[in-house]
Amino acid sequence: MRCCHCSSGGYIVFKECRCGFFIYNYFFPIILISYVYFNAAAVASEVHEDRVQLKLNPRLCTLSKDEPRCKALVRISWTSEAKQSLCLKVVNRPDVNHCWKQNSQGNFGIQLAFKNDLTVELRDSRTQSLVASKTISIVREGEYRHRRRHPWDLFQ
Amino acid sequence: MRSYITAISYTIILATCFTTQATSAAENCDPSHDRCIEIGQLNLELAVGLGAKTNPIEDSDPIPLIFVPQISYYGERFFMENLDLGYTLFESVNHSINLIATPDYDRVYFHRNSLQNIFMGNTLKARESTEESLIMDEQPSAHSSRDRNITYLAGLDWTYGLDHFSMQLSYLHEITGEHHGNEFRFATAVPLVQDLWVLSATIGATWKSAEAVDYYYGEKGIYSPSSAVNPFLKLGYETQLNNKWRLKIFGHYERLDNEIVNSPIVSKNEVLSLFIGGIYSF
Repeated sequence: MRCCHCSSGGYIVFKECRCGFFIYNYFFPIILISYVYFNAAAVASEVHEDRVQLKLNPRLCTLSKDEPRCKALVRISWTSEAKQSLCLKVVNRPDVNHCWKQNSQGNFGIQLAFKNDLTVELRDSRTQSLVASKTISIVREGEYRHRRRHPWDLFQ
Repeated sequence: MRSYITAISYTIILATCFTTQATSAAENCDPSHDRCIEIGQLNLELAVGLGAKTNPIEDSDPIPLIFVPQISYYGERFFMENLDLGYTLFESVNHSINLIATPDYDRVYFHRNSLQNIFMGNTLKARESTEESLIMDEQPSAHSSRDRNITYLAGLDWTYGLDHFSMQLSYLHEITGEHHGNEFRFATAVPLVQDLWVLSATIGATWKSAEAVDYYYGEKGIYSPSSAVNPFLKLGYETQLNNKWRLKIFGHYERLDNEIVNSPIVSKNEVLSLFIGGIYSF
């Protein structure tokens, strides 16, 4: 492609100059896309720095028909790329409260008994805003019995 | 009346004995086994296919088997299977003894829109019927001088099962005050091929007391039958197509006792039922 010098921008100039045509059709869009991409990446990077990974163990509690509630040692761990001050809370359990000051990770274990799904939250210690949340689900085993055999019936 | 009281007395004594020693109905039931059913769940199935059941009553059309709903519900001990209601007195892995209440299925031959017919399958016929034919369907047979009401039988039911082999014996007494008759139902199903699909043969018989036979097939002053035994043979094929559908094919042949065949309103000595279709589990 042969390129010429263009001293000014604008539509008319672009019509008269192949270089202007190139700038109008390729250069500006590339610049625009690049700007949007790098700007978005920068924002994403900021978010990523604050992202907290919360892990619970166990994630599931299976109850047999004779067990009214789940009793388990719940191990909670979190990691963050940036140091943060976070507090651990359990929904509907105000007695459970543990905080970390300016840490990038934390571990906590507690013996709990619960009848319904248990939701563990990490909240910012200053603003109380929710940073991460995970739930331990309860699965109750269904009770089964033998179906009546009925060979006399037409459809059995 | 005396036999009725005796039957009820025996039933109550047996019920008391078995209930006090009964094992939990839920014990030893592996959920992966197709004979195990979840307690407290309403189960609905719909058989969709082509089929019919012949009607031995003179000048009567066959009963179509097109859409046949199957409803069941099992509680800890109470259960419902279509129109059958039951209470499990005793249950082990292979045996169960139940108190049951079940309708008398002879009525389906006389009333096309009978409740029993819903689970035998007459829905398409009913929808296709003209107003005139629906009125006719509601009436008893033209050859009969009286109506046959819905009757319920109640009694004891014993079943034995091992994989696809099963045996059933029921003693029933009519409790709706129509004829006070009795019925024995016996059937045993034997798997001929048991693989990814099951081919099974069932043989059985129904014994009906004179009162029961007379209620349906007798004509006052003309014909008064005695007790009857109807043996039957069924061949069935079933295979699971996917988690919702299974294919079902069966042929059921029932030979009617001469006490029924000799009735002036009966023109056939057999009842043949054929069906091919899919059963969908909701």
